[in-house]
Amino acid sequence: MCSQEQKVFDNSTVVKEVTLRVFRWDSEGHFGEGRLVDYTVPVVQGMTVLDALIYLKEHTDHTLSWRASCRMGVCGSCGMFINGLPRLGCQTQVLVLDTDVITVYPLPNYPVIKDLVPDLSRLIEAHTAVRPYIIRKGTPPEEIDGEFHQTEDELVDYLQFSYCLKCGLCMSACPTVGTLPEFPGPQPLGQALRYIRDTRDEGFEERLEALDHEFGVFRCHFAGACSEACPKGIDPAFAIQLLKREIVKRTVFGLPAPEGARLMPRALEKAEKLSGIPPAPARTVEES
Amino acid sequence: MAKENNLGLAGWFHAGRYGPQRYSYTLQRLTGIGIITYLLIHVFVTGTKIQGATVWQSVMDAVLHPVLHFGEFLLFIAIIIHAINGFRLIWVELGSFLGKPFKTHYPYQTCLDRNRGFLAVTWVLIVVVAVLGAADFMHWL
Amino acid sequence: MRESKLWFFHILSGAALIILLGLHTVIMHFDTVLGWLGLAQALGSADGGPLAFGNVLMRMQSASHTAVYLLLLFIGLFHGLYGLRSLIFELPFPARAKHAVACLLVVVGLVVAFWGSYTILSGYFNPPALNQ
Repeated sequence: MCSQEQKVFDNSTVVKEVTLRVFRWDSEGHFGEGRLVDYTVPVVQGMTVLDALIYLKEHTDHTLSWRASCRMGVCGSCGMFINGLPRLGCQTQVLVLDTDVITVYPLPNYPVIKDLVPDLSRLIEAHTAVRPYIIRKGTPPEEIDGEFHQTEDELVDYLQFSYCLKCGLCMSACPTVGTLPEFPGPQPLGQALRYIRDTRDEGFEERLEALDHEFGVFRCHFAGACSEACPKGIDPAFAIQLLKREIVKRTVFGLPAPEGARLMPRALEKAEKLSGIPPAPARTVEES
Repeated sequence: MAKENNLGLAGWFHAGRYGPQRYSYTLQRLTGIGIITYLLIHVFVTGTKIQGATVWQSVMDAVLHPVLHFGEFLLFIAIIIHAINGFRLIWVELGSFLGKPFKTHYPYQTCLDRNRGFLAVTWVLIVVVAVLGAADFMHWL
Repeated sequence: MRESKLWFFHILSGAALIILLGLHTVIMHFDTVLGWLGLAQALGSADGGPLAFGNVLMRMQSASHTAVYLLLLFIGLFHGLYGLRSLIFELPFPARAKHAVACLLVVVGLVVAFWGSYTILSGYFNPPALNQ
């Protein structure tokens, strides 16, 4: 029952009260092997699960722990398992969930540091292993003097996969990540495709070792849960099937890599002349 | 010190409120296990044909035991599911029938949405062929 | 062999099996339908059904059936055992044990392939008599 005219946060009216059933665990054994604890939260219009957790920490239990940063769905820090799906806490509205009890667990498939805080090392290590940056043979990227020509179509070929927040929700959803520690996971595989499909990149061979092995990309069987979980529409399941196609085209059929992006060395000069913006001043920091 | 929190093998069967695609992968696996197990035994059972009619008939009498016969029916259904869904997976796992990348915007659409039609046709076909086969199996035709 | 090549053969073998196993299933389980289409005699399903020894013998001595059975055996074994290997590789136990199990699967595959080919070819080149 909500109190008459109770006002919280920015003086908004309380619409109802919900129970937040939160998984609690710490390494000191205060919650044994882990336990669900019920907390009551007054709900206002537009309140997110993250807001609810902040309310609890301020008013009810200051020992509750979770990760959050931007609170607006761009940093990927507040990933949690809410009401049966991995979601961003800041993007999950309590009233949209429409249940009187909201269960909040830490993200599955990651070790738990405390309460709702996952250890994301696996995500970071697997992501690093696929070399998520433009690889150029020849001139290092920092010495390239010019612009790469990329058509609209070439951009759209990889653009949607470039919006990844590294929130890790997809890794939580994946059934293979849940049983196979050596499997890279949807996020790294999606990012591998993002770079392979970028016409500026020349690093397909360098990435292959991390992808084409017995515990690699071919242990994905299109369960599609990663795409269901992704809060940014990256559609990692789509990326991974496209990645399989790219790998088979090159390793099985021996098809050559598509033509890379053309470097336009005069483009910068021309742009500077046309725009009236003066050229950059000379370096003042010595090269190491 | 952190606490392990993997979905484990149970995650192949239930892990949350995911759609049918996740569980169709588990079904493909289960039917596959059934079929390969059967194949390994089937080669030896049917190999008895080279020993002549008498041996063959006694083997056939043994395998037509009601429990085994029902098991064969389940295997038949498993083959139908695995083959027809497998046909869809051949295309999908090579990146076909999933649409093309595009400039995404909220609310987001995924390749699962674009493949839903194909999935529906697959299951209609599975049901039709299974019913026809069942009718023949049970000698209703 | 590269995993991508093995996987691609798995996909290709799946496609081949849809046809081969489809044909085999139709002969074995859709014999009434085949009868309606007048194909039962040619495909060895008439007169007592596909499991009657006369029909078994007819298929044993047919070159086309023998070829189909051999293809079905090898392609089916590859596809099925690769699938099993894939499943085993994804189970949560140590990688070394997984490689050992994979080797075991190869051995099982070779044994079954050998025995199956022996019975198929033996049936073709040296069939038993009808009344044996």
